Amino acid sequence: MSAVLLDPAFLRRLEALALRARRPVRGVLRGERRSRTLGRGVEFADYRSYQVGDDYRHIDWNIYSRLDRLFVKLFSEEEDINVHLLVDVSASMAWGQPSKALYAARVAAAIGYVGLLGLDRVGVVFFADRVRRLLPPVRGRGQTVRLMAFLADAADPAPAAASDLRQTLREYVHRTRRRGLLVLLSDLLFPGGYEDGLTLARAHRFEPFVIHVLADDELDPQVRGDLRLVDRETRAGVEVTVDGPALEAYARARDAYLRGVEEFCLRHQIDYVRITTSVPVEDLVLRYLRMGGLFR
Amino acid sequence: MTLGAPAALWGLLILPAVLLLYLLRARRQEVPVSSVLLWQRAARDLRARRPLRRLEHSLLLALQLLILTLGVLALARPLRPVPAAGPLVVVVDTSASMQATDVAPSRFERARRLAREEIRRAAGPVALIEAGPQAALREGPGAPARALRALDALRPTDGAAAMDQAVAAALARLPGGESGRVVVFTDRAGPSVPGVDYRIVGTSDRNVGIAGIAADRLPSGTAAVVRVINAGRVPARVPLEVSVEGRPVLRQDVSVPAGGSSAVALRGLGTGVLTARLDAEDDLPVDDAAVAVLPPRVRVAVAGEEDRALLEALAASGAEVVPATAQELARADVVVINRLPLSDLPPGRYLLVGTVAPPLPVAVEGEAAQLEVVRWSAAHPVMRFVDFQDVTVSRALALRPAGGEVLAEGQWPLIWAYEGRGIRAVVLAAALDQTDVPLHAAFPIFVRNALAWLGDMPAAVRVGEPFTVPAAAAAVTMTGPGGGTQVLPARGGAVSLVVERAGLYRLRDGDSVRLIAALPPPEESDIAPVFPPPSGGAGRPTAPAASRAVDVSPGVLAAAVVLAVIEWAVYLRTQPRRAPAGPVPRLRHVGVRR
Repeated sequence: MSAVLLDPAFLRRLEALALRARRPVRGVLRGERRSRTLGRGVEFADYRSYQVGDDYRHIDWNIYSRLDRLFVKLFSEEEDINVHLLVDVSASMAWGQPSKALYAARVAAAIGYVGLLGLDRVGVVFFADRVRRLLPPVRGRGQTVRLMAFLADAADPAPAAASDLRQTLREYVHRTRRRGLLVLLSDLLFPGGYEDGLTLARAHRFEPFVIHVLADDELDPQVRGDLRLVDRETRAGVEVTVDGPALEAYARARDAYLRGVEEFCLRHQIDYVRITTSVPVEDLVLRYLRMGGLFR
Repeated sequence: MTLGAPAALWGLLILPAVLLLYLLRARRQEVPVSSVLLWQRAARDLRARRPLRRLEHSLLLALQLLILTLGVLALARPLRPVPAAGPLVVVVDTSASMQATDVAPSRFERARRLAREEIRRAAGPVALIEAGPQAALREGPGAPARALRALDALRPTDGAAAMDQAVAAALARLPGGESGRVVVFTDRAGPSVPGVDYRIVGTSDRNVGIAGIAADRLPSGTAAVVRVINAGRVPARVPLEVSVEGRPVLRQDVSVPAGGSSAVALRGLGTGVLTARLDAEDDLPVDDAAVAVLPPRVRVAVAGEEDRALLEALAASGAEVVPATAQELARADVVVINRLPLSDLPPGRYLLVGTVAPPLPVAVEGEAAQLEVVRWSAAHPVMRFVDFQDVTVSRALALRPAGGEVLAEGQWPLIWAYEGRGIRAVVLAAALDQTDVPLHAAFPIFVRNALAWLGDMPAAVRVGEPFTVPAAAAAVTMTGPGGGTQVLPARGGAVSLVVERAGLYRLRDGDSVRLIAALPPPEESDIAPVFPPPSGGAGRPTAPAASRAVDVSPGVLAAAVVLAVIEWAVYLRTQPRRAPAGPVPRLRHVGVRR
């Protein structure tokens, strides 16, 4: 199943990556993320006077030679982080070639794979109008097959229903006590809006990272003529004559919408990446998410 | 504008098909999309601009329909008649009916305006003919500017239109073998002649008018009959007022059937000027008033042998018989000469019985015995209601007239009438004791008619009809109804004239004054326009030789092409262009991570 989502060559390239939390987080077990707790780690944090019981391997002999005093080097403790992958599987995500849902599943698989390799806890949520399916947070390389198998089902969209991010996150934040990185993979085309849901996540001290997945023809519609456009989720219809002025009006509405998403994310300190399904997943993960600070 | 291929107009049936396509286009196809969220926001934006978009769509449709129409018209080969460079003869009707106001301001002014436009379009010389009581060439053929000036000088008359003569005169102005046109502006089409184009003005037939006033002298006094005509298609009831010398003698409502007439009789009127007025709401005011002259009794001087039957017939006719003294002969309206040989007749009016005299143009070739009357006129006023059936004449003068008119004849003329050289005369070739004419009922009628014809110094004339009045002076001064005076020279003791206005005329001949009432012709009261026969019949309005047709289909096609380019530009305006905000990047990152 993993071969369906991500090919082995790509997986091998993912092994060089590691998830990077935006701020130090405290995990439960030793992981590979800095903690506010100073201790054994790889990243130097500070000095303090040597006390009985300290590991003598951490004594800085250079300072001792200059100051004739024993100082111990302190390191940021590396901890695991909780990665929550929220994949939108509403009916609108079945759109595109490949479908946005499949694309989002592949991106989630890549992130989850990197997380499992880094000994982070990775959980997956399929949602539409609410939480549809849930993979509780798992940990360890041995869970990659399970993760991939679970994500492979994302290609089957939920039956037509109005997607609702606010309801989904309200349900999810109360269900889980583990805060951490919340990666939202969605087209954000929620009739009720995306703002309340993301605000709720920030209020519950999650660290949202929004990957906005769109199809190319959602940015530049290819339909023309006198049409009745039917929403795949809500079955609502809009009668419109798709011609030049109509497309210009659509472009204005689209740009205003996207600009609103960007401004909202900036205002709320939320990482945001917009992508279309025509961009290869490999490019997104290896270049842009790395540049965006999700990986190191 | 005519069409060279009118069958191509069937192509216009494509227009409903285009409309149908537009209607069918309105049946929207259902297309699923991932979300209508952005489309709903776009629709709100579109609704704000909807009037403009609707206009664009309707403009496209209108342009397409117009292009198709022009294309079909181009296929139908529209032909624009272009006046040939040949002469143009314009005939303008100036009859009384052209004063009708059913088209503003009047039929005549409308005709004048149309004629002016036609003359301005003319490429060649222009002639102007007035179709009034007499057809008259008013200008040309010559420069159009001169014809326009002559046209401006035209005035409508109260008479009839001599349309036949006018059309004939117009055709005579067209040189043979050269193209030319005759355009007639009238309310009644005349004879259908190839090359003559009638332009009819007028729409209404609504008119009630006075068709005539007949005044007659009776022994008991003067009687008059006012005839009211209704040319319209609905019965009318109109108030009629009649006065004599300003004194009202009648005021009553007259009912006139549609298309018919009614007569109102008045008796014991005396003498003077009778005025009749109708208060009618119609389209022709000129015939709503009329005047008539009620003449005094005719003074008859009888000379020659005395004949009782003749005197009784004269008395029965209402004449005032006076002895033939020299003074009375000069004052008498009519002189009756019974079997009195004469060497010369001065100008005057004579009833000659059994005698003739110079300068009458008639020779006497002995006597005619047993004259049998086989023909007599029914048209001449003297012979009206006169029946000479079974009349026997034992002996009569064998007359050989060199002029005048024979009113009754067998082998030789029995009754002969002459008018000329200041003389009006009726000659009865047989003496009354040599015929049984006095024993017939026809005799008093004949005498009465003869006195009426001879003694009637035309008190009532029709506008446009020529008439003669005897004149003792060298010239007669005529004052018209409008007050204008005119000096008319007398020739041969008489003045011949034609009047163009209805109303009362005063002719001053030395010390005496004659009153003459002129009435419009009764046929002018019928103002219903008469159209020429449809094209293709005997009267084709315009002969091909009179004008040439220019195919304007290339111009129509060029207009269609220009419109098609405009339509394409409008269409392109509705097509997708580069989005105002520019292309959306396929990937965008808004990062807050350091």
